[in-house]
Amino acid sequence: MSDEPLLEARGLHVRFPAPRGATARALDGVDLDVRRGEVLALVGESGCGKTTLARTLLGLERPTEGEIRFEGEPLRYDQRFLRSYRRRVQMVFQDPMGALNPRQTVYEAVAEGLRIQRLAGDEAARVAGALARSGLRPPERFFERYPYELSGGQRQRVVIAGAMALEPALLVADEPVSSLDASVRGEILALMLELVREAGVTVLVVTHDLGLAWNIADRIAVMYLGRIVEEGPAQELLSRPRHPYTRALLSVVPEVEGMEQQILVGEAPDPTRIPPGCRFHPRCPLVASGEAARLGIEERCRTRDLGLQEVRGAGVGHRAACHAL
Amino acid sequence: MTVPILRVRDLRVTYRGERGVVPAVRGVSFELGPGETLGLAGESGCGKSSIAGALLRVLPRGTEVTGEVLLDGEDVLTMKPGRLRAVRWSEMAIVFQGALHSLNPVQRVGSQIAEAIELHQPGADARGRVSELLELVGLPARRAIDYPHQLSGGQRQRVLIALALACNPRVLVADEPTTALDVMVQAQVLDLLQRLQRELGLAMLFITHDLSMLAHVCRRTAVMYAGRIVEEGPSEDVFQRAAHPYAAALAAAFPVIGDPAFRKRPVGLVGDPPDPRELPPGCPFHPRCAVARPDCDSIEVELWPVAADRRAACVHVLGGPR
Repeated sequence: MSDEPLLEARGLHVRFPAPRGATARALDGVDLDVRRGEVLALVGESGCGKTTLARTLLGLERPTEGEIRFEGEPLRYDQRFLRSYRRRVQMVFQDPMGALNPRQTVYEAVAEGLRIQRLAGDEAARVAGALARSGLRPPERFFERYPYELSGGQRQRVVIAGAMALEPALLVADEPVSSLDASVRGEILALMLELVREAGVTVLVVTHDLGLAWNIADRIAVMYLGRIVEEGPAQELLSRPRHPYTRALLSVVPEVEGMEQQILVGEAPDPTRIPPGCRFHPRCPLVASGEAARLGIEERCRTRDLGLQEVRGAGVGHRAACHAL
Repeated sequence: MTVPILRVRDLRVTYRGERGVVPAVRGVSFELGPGETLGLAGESGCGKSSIAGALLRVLPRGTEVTGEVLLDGEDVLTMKPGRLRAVRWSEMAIVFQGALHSLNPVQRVGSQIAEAIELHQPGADARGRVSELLELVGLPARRAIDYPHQLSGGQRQRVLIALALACNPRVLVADEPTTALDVMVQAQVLDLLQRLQRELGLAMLFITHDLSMLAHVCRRTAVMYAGRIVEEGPSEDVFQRAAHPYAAALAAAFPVIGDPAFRKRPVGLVGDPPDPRELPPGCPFHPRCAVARPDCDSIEVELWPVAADRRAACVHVLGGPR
């Protein structure tokens, strides 16, 4: 039981109609496990599909193809199922100011979810418990405050308390600190680690920030054009990235020492026109430098699509989708 | 240092409006030599963008600006409008963040650049110069006929850089030039700015909240808090061994990937940066400071020496008060 992933996605595809009759393949075959009690960082640039994946895992978006299982049970899309599912799987949005109603007190903001879910029991005690767990202590002192009376970090704590009040198994946090001032971010990240440790919640954090992943993640999955192209234990993946895209992404982060910069040309690629073969090959430094040709794989890079494969000689669970492996 | 091209002395910017009197910049001084790079780091509301606005005199009407902004010895703050127009762009130019709002959406980008050239250098071959500038920033010259919305975020930022360089300025002020961009595009634009700075020998003031970026782009960095510089020195030192506790906290917000000290150990400050209308007494950082002394709420902090080329406004620094 405990080895079974909390959440599994298999062969997920999400397609959207795009202008001029085109189809955007926002998710193009995603397999992902979220394990119990871990912090998993889903990393990628805008347009890679990471937010679509998060929304699909939350049941907000229905996959065109593929299946999601939560605690072993397939996700269904009827009202009844979704309501109980959304109690177990909670979302924390990017901007606490947008997530909170400015005319609602902290108490009301946290109690709202409890009322929607019609959770029986002592409401005030649940609200107090969630606020305290989110670091707003003593909780009663915050009951009657309004969002504008709080600091940016405190506001994000209220949003997290609203999610935690429902005692979810999984917290999905989409760029949870990017709207906060830099010096405040650490306190929210520390809170998330504390919730994992103390409340046993599992966290899926969606971010563009590899430094954040180094700060809090146990595992990392890197997305590119609707697909996960590399995944593995955070320390291992960031110390020895194997996919050329991950390597390039890491090389341009100013906080990485002693790595030669590999700046990819062009903008984030277009999900309505996913290249054939390896989807990264038009921007791949291995192809551009002739290294792929020397390795005798260039033809495969251009024509053969490939999935994740175990990286030989790496830690368990380190997988990447590259012909050069 | 050689004779500075830009010398800012006791700059103060105060906004007066519906929100009351807001002292956004409270006495900032710095110097920039020809071809030198200086980073100005801080969070929202610290006053860093007000400094950029004051240097170019593009702040809202009614804003009170005092002190001196000496460009080659001439005070920008007291220049007559005609002289100011001549100096802006041709001596000192600015690249803002959010290129979409700085460009005219209904005018082709080439003609926007040409306009700036014709205004400052009548008779110049504006068309030829536009092509030259676009290529300089890594865009094909044929992009001149595009409208801003036809370009990607990174391309628009390149156009803004071309625009800033149109009249060969010697000082470039870059205010969060990469903030709204994706990581990889950010790296492209940053790389471009660094190359241009070197090749054209520009003096550059680079303003950002991202302290880690400055360590790579600028030789020296100044960190601002509550309208004042709280630490200044060589960028590497400020980022890696900050002397001021606020600068240290800001640096820690950008964890060094691979460094075990940051692994699973996020650190942050409590509270928000203070409201400039209600600054705490004494050191304005003391309510959020983990190493504050009992007298920090009353002491007037100033930039005390930390080392030969470093200063910090904290009572704990070597050259601080006994």
